[in-house]
Amino acid sequence: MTRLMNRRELLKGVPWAVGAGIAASAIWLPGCQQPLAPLKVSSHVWVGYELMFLARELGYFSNDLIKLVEVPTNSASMMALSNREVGMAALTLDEFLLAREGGVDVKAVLVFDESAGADAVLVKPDIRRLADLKGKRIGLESSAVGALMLAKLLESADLRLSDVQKVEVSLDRHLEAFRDNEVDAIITFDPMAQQVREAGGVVLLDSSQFPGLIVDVLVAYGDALTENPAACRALLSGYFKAAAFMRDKPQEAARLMAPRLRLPASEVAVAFERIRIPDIVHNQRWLGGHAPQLINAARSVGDILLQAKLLRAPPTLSAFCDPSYLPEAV
Amino acid sequence: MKQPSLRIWLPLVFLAALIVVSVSSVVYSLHRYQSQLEQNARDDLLSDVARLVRMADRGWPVNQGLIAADLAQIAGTTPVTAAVVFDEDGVVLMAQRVAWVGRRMSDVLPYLDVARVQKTLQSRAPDWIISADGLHLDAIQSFAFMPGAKEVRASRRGLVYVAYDLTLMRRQAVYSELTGRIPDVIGMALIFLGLVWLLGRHVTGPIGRLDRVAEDLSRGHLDIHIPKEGAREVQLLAEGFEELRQDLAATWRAMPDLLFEVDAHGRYLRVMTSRPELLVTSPDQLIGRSVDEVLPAQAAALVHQTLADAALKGGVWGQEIMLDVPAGQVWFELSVARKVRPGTLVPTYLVISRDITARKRMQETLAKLNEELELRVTERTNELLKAKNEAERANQAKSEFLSRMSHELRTPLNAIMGFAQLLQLSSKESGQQNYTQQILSGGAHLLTLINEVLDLARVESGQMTVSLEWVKVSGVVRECLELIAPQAQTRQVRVTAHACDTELYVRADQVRLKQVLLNLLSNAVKFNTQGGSVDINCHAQDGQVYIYVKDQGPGLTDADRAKLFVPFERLDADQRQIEGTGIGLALSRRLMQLMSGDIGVDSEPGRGASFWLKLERTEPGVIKVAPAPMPGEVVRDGVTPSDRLVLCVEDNPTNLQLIETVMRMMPGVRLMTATLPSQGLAMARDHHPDLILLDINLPEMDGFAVMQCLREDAQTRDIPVVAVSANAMAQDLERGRSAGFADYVTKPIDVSRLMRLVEELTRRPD
Repeated sequence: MTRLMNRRELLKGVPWAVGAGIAASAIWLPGCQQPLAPLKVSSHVWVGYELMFLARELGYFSNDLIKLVEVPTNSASMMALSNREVGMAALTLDEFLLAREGGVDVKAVLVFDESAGADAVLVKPDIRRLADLKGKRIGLESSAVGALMLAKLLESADLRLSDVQKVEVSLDRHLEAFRDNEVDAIITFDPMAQQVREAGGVVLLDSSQFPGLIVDVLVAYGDALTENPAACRALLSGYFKAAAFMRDKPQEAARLMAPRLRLPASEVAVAFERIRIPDIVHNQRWLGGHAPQLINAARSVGDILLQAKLLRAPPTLSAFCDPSYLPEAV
Repeated sequence: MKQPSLRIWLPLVFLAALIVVSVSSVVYSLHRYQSQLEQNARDDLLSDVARLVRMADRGWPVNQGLIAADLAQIAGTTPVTAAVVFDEDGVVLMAQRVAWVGRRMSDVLPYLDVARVQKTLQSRAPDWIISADGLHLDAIQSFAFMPGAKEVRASRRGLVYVAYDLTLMRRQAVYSELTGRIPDVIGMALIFLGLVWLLGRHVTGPIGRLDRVAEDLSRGHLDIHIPKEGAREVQLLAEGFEELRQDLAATWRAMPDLLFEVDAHGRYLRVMTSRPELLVTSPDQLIGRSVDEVLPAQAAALVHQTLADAALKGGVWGQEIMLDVPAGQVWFELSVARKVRPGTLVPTYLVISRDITARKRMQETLAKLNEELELRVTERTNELLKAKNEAERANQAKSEFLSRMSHELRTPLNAIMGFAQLLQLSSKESGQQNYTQQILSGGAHLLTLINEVLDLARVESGQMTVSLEWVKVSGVVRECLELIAPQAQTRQVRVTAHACDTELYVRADQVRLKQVLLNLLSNAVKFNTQGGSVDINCHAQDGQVYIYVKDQGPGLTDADRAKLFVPFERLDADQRQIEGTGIGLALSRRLMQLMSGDIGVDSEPGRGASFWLKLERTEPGVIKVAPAPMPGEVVRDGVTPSDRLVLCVEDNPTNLQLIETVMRMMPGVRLMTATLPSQGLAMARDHHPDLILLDINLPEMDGFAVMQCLREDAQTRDIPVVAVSANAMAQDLERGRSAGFADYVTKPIDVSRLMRLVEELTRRPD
């Protein structure tokens, strides 16, 4: 009889269990199974960004999580970001500041590289000194980097903007413009800089002379991050794994990266020599801590951009960078 | 098959129905979504391709930057897996991946069919394909490069290829459709739970509680509260239960019996009683224990045996058992019936134990009473037997007394009558004649009186027996007419028989019938008027024969008739100087009754009386009884035989003298006498007399023994012997006949009859 009673009590619970199951499944279904579109990251071709593509090539992150959108120029990248066609973009620090001022609510989650010669002012061989630039045509992309380099160039050469002739050349036409003598000098960066160099360009000034000025960052919309934090983490983790891969197998890495950079594999390493890639620990310093390095850099750059009237006001630096998506330092 | 619980299957059926409906709805909706998705994706795809083609058609290579930006934008959209521009030689000019530029189309898009590419190059229209699963679709369209400086018309053509993967979009569609159903699902769950709750609260819960109540009831907890709750039907059920419970409780209270349920091993499963003092121990202590543990071994064995019988027969009644319980020593009657619990095969037994102590005691008392009674009956029987024996002995003594009295009265009367007759015969003087006649008349009266008194006494004491045989009525009537003739003559009364010559036979004792009829005739003559007449009539009716004797006397009043058959009532006979004993009619009635007949009288005062006899009619030979030898008729033909020798054996000298006197009066008869039997026997052998008159009451040996000797002797065997005795009892006469006596003459001797006998028996054939 006791057995029967137990069974009876057991049966009594069944409908409640079924009901609870239905309710639970109603809650569980959307929570766990939501299919998310891959987090899109736009970038143009820049050696500092290349480890990201190496990671894709090596399969270090899933294409379901991250979709790398290759745009022709950093302006296109900025536009894609502004239009929210992408959730993340690889930008230079100055572009980042400009974007923020333009109401694009993004923050930095990674510092790709610090230009140490990758950005350069290449001139025709006949120009030997900075002062020789006076009255010359200087080609440059209408970007913040261009403005930045120009500002530094003028500062170094002790010239004014009126002393030179500024020619706007889109990045993809830098080589062409230089070769065709449309300009006397070109402010460009690797790998274009290398190509220009090969075309007889002489480096008059490069970014190695202004450390911490030209910094490439990965920026992201805050809501895109909260929507799919795993994708961002996967991207950064893959990025640093690719960096490790390049360290271990530089030649293999160079071979894989060469087609995109449109460089012979042998020159890939050279290109990387002109930038400094901070590792995870350095990235922590750039992005985290009491006084993130990036904030300092942003202030400096902000000042220059302000002087160049590229910025209308000093940049607001709240919610500027977020180190929380960086992988644990090994 | 086990029926599932209402509480389970009703919600489950409802749930299943909900699920089926929901799933159908979702599937249909998804199908619609998918069609829509495909439609939209195709439109987008073709639009993307058209955009690139339009730009390339006019702008290549001038607007390469713009085309690249557009291509990047297109490639950046979620479903796009490939966006490639290549020339007719298959070299990639532009792609979503910078690394692909300059490579062969067959390297980067190995799945792209060459024939399809060729076909597209010929056409201007886009060519699009969707995979069978609807997840992958792509489109390819050609465009013309701007004509070279030396060309009028572009000679080279390029191609734009865009591919979509809809997997994610479809997944998102499914997801969004499913999440859109969440309110439905939650609603469904709520309805389901609500249903379960309602069902539980109003139906299955109350039913479950009723089930437990039923369980308790079956365990005998009859004072349990039955909850009345839930749906109306369930409440009705509960009411029915309550009624049943009250019935059961009342029945149980009214029943003086104990009820147990035990299993096959005699273990108590249930104990119910309203009289706990009859239980060996309290019900709680009985449950779960075996009869072996609580009852004495012998009683337990009996219970086990009863259970085994019930297992075989289904039910057993009337097994009696005595137990010591708190109420004392009690007898129980066990009734056991087997039952099987629903759903199991294990039999249990319902035992009703009835207190039959009172009945048992009563039985014992009754048995004791019976025994006492039997003892008393035996005692009484013995007493009665003793009394009967004594009565019989007394009766015997009375009979002997009567017999002796009869003998003792007759013997002196014999002498009186005999000698008076002799005197009358010898005297010639009319004075003396007159005196002797008076003596004879008185003697005859006395004799009749004695005979009748004796007869009546015998009838009254039940000693009178009749031997019923067939009797011819006409014979009896004729005989009686002869016998009554002298008396009638004296009274000058004419006696006539009418219609009595017919062949009528009745069942009667001849002697007694004659006695009765003679008595009636004698009365008719005596009470008749001088010179009157008596008529005898016979007739048969309804198997009965009636004999009427009608006189012309004064008749009888009703009061007379009432006293008529009472002994010693003589009516007015005394006043009328008519002699009689007053016994005749009383005796007649007794005799008629003995013969299964009847006697009666029809009379009116002044018109005479008509007495009737009623007897059962019969046919001759119906009664196998030897007819009594009829007394030979007196023949007065005057033949004088020569010397005839008569031997008389008689010890009484007075009687002997009478016989000698009578014999002397008969011419040609010589008498020899012997006073002792031995002497008589010797004389019979020596002289071979013609007739022997043998007294029965003889010294040495009685007349029967003498008769036997005579019969055993060849010389004396054929001599007729007449018994002469004062033993006038009927059995004496019978005994005499069977002993071989020719006739029987009773004392006092009727002289004329004796003379007739001697005459008749000694007549020699001529």
